[in-house]
Amino acid sequence: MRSVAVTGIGVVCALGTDRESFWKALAAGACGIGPMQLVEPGVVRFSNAAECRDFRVADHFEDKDAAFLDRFAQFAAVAAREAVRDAGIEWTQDLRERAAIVTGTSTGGQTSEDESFRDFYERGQTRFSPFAIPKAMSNAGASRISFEHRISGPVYTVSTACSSSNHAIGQAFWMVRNGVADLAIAGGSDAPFSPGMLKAWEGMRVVSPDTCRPFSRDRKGLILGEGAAMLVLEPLDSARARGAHIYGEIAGFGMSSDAHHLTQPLPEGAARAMRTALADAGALPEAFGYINAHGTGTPANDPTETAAIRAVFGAHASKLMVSSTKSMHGHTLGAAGAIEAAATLLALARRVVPPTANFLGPDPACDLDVVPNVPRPAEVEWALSNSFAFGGLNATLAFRR
Amino acid sequence: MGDTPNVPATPAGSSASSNADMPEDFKARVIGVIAKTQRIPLETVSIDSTFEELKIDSLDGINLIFALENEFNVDIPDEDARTVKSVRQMAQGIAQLLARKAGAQGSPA
Repeated sequence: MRSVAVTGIGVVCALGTDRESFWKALAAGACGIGPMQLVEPGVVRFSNAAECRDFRVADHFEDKDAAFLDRFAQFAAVAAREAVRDAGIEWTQDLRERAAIVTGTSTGGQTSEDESFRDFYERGQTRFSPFAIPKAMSNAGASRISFEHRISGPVYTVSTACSSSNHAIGQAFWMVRNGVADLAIAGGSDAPFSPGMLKAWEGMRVVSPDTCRPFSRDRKGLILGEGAAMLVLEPLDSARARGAHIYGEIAGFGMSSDAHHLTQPLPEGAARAMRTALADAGALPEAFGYINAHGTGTPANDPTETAAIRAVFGAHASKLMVSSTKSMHGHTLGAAGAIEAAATLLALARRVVPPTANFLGPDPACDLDVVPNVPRPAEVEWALSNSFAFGGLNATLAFRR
Repeated sequence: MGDTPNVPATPAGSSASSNADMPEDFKARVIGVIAKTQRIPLETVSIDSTFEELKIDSLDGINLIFALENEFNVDIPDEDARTVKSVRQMAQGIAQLLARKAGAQGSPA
């Protein structure tokens, strides 16, 4: 089996539309949450969101191209361009055929779908654009990336709600590790801000009326975010041989299902995903210094995740730094695992652990070192990143510097 | 949490909308919605049932609130939705919201 290096990172999210502005904000503990602008006020009870306000479509796409691409696919393509540029890949026909793309998304092109269905149901428009279907499909981002870079190996999309990206990156990691692909672009994207979708989130009663405060007392729920992140994965040996800059390695991947409930998480399921990732990486719990938590800021997730971490790491859990960067870039759903993988890799490489922002004070049910509010300079060798989805589907990635 | 829920935590101590003040037909309407939404026989639900007894979990609870909001045309705030654990609390909360709504409509603009 081959070791797998990450040689390129691209990010679009509320903290910035490129990797370096994203990292600058994370390393400063800056929060990207603010008054929602993409959907007019008053449609839903909550009013704050983590939107990509600096993202200007015209900076990245010709008019005609933009019209055929849902915002989620635009984010995916822009993040992939940055990751590919960052990795400094020199394409050959052979490499293109041996390269894979695996993306994750939860809502796919539902924002476009919502708009076209409104035209039909509400505005009486009887004709649909021929692009309504290909614009809304969940693999639109992956396909667009393949067109732009003419990547012709395995290209597909996985959708497991909020753990989509971790499942996607895990699949790509295994393909590169096992020799099925010699390069992979992996990550995820989501753009859930449409009136219909926000009403549906309102109905679930999990969105915070103020901000996102993971693991904190007085936390009131999650904050919806949008964006994308893409990683370039290569065999470590060939990355070294071509002199590529290496952020770190993906060392292990673990998945599990709670087999229990649509929305109520189980600590046992989350713990099994983490244990499986550790075993896949061949690493001992004591080697780990940081966990980028799923940490949604809902009353249910954070104590469950705390219990799961304690179950896996035992006494070592108290020595771990555990932060939720969702406090800064929001919950980007199907993009969450990818954006958090980028955050974790940058934290290892640049020796700063991003904090859990908006923290008001401890909740006894979340008694971990959650790096409250202030970024922390730290030498960390091994880290985990957790993603847990509605439906009880858990996916954990293990990284090493 | 430091918030003061609009729905009283216990029937004791609440005066304005305690059990005695809730008309039978109103209670029956609440119970009817709960039975229908949960797909359980009407006779298994009483005003004294707890959600635990009725096997109503957190997601079911939110679904019930959705059904009751539609039935009575009221908006139940998220914070209150989380604190409700029994049929009586639910009925009292809705009675309060209806009373407040009637008061707001009756007051001069």
